[in-house]
Amino acid sequence: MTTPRQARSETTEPMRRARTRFLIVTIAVPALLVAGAVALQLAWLPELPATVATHWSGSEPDGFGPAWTYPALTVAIGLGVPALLAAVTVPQAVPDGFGTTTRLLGAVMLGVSTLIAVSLTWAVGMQRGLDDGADAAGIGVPMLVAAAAGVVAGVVGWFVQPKTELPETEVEPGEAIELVPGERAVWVRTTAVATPALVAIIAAVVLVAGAAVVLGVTSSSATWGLWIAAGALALAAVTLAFRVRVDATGLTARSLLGVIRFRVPLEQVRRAEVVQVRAMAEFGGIGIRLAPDGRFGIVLHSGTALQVHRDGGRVFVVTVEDAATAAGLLSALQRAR
Amino acid sequence: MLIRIDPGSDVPLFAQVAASVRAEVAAGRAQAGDRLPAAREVAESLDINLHTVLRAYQDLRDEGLVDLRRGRGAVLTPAVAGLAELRDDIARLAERARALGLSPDALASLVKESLR
Repeated sequence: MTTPRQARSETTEPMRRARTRFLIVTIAVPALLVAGAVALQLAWLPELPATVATHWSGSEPDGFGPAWTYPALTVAIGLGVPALLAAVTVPQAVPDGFGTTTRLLGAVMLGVSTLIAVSLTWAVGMQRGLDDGADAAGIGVPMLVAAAAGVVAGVVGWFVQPKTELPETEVEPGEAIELVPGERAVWVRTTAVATPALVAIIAAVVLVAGAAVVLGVTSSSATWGLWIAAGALALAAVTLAFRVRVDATGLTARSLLGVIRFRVPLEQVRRAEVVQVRAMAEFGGIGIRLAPDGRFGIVLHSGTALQVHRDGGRVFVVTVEDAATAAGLLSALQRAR
Repeated sequence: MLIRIDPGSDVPLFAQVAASVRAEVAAGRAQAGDRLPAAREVAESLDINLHTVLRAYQDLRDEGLVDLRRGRGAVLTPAVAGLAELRDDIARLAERARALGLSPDALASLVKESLR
């Protein structure tokens, strides 16, 4: 197996700066926030009832757990989620470049971390001196304030990171392969995520499932978390590998597991070409993706991809090896129509 | 994997399908361990009979280039490495034949003859 050709951008000074700021926003600041929040929560432990409210329904607490639930959740979500995201993002973004998508991702992660740190700290802080967690006040105001703080932190996180320009990547038009009149042809190829990405996806799914189990233990509304975990698992499994086909009907990409299928009918193909995709920088990661520039893609790794311009200006991208042959066949079939 | 057939050609369709697979291997676009497209998929896309494709895959198996297993489909064997190795030699020979004005059929029959 040949490794997909990588579109590497040089590590320039602005890129280094963008990377440093990204790490500050997704790791350093959340770590400080969570450390402060956990320190407060631990200091309050002696003043708390044996079981504290951990879940509210309306303004009434309806889920209870031991007080250590709060510091544990604060670390797991407030720091664990941004750190996991950074661990998945950085290995891809270093060769691909830090662009708008990583900037947005970093800002959102700082917002999430702030939301978690503020809301959980407030929720446990207001239960100090109570005899019973059931007497806890409503969670509405703390959540509103925490959400506002999260938004503010997100905006700050966005502007703290520099705006970067990614270098242009090459686009090769699909050189039509020669077909004699009446000749028929089909091109088929399987495309799948690379092993490191596979490991990262499985790790993420395990983390989500683990979080769902923790929620199930500590809160009354256990099922939604598990459902989300199950959904993420199913979705990840279905979008890990695709069978891409070009024939007289056009372009078809069908997931190996499951029923997801994307089609570009031949009559809608305007132009087929080969591009070098930077998954993280252009599409914000791997999977079924909509890029900020409007391109829709099955992006399973960085590197060679088949790009099809459709009638009406829509663009479909699928990362697949030997895309030159696919683009060439699409061009030839289109011409022969 | 690009598979092409010309219904107007004198060469039987199953032979054209098998030749496409060999050409892909020789061009270095397919390697040992790669799976051939499902016969049903090829038959549908090219609008030919399923048995035509199966016949081609069976021929490739008889040549030792393909492993046919129930449930796993048709997988290229390590024997295809030999085909890929000949790539440069074939390109050179074809170039020479073209320069000398030899027809493809004439060259093919000469090669066949020398292998006897």
